Amino acid sequence: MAELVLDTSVRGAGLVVLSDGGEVVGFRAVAGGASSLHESLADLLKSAPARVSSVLVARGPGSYIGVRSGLAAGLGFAQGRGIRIHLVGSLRVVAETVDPVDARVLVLRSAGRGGILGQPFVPSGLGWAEDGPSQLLSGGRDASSFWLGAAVIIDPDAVVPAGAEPRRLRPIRGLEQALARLAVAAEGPGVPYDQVSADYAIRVGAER
Amino acid sequence: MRLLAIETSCDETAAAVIESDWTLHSSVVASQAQAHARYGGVVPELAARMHLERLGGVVDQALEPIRGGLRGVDGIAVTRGPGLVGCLAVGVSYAQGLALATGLPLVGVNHMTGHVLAAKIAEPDLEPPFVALVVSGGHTDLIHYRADDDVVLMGATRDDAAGEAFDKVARMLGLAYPGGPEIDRAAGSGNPGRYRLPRPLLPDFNFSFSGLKTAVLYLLRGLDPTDPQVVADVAAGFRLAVVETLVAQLEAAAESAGVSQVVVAGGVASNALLRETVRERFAKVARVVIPAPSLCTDNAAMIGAAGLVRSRMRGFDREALDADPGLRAYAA
Ligand SMILES: [Zn+2]
Repeated sequence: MAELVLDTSVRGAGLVVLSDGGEVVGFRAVAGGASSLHESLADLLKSAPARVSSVLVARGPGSYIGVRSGLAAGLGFAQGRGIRIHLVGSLRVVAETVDPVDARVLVLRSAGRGGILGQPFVPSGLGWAEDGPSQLLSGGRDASSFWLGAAVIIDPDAVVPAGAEPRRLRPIRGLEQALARLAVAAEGPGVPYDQVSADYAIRVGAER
Repeated sequence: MRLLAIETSCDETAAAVIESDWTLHSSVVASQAQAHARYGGVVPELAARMHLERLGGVVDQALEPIRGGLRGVDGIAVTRGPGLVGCLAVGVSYAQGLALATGLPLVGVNHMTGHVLAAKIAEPDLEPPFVALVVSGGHTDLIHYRADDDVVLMGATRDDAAGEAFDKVARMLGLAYPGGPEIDRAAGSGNPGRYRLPRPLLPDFNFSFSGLKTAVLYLLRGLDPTDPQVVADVAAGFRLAVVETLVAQLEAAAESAGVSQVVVAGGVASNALLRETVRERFAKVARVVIPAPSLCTDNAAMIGAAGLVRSRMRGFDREALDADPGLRAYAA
């Protein structure tokens, strides 16, 4: 029994992970493009022929084409095998690279073109739980109001604009380990094949 | 050989199952037209999102009549281009996931070749050579289909595609989107002879509909566009001008190519006046093949047909396959 995990929400890159009980059995980097995703997936399944019993896909927010390609590939695979598909927010994956601390955190990730994706999380059990929707902040000015009052910021891409001095948490595990952890935590019947959808971050306007 | 076919290049989410003897087991189309109607055209991001949400259900439905479901299928055909980048990515990635899960081989298909080869489902004994008029929202093409691996583009539109012109004129007349069926409905009670509109005939089998569109704009300046009879008469005059232009160029192309078979395909080929006029004009000189309207508008059956031809010709795409939004129309 193993879980196949896909996260292609980062612009031009992604990860395909095979997980068994939360342990990474194998992973491949996805360089970008549908054929590259296919190659990474095929290669990983060949090298680690564990029986895949469920699929977990990062549903964004993130790269427009990447998120959709990953979700579609995950859906096709799950439907082709008749197995469950689970979805997880892409910023939750980033949160899971850090062990929970006793505080509300904001996860920030560069969205390209000066934009910032952000989402608040609170500690929950051994990991994190969403404390609000994901947002697309169009620039530093908006971001500063967004993280006001948050104790900690996880900032893997170093996107914090000048002037802000949040307390940063350092990742203690890689994205592939975070994905493997989340795959184990994914429970229940999963998402019906006709209800797979991406997370579209709420746009926070440029004007104030 | 039995193929599951998937189409997501624009605003229809579609799946079909087709047999190598051209028997169509199923063809399911979930149209997004209503969702895009209020924006007056296809919104790419919304289209990609809806494909993702609908593809699973549409494929399940297409597989319903197949004993064993996916196990009763020998390969998967999917549209790889041309089309909207996000929409194609959803279809191609989904098909790849499905192929990896099942071990089924995959074949990538040119959407425009699909439109032409829908004619094989309509009349399986149709063999090249033939001339095809392909008219849709994005294309107005005349092609010489000499053989499956030898397709020559004879002419195309220099500006608006016929379907696009229908959409724009419909907007001028206060009619809804998509414009083709709306203009058809309005034209039904109109007099096509009341307002004479130009027939823009370009050399070399090319088309230009922007002048005709401008002529409608000028014509409407002197008229009351809220008068239903005016709308009906202008719609009828416009429709006739488009149809006569298309048919005149098709006649010239068929004569120049020296073929005795013509095919009309693409979404606009579901237009009743175009179908009738082509049949009438070619009654004594050529065999006319026009697929049923449901095979003219975007669907996956036509992708299955093109997948059968392509896999026969070149085998399956065993290696990875990329979506190609800018894929040249009719390229193998
Ligand atoms: Zn089309």
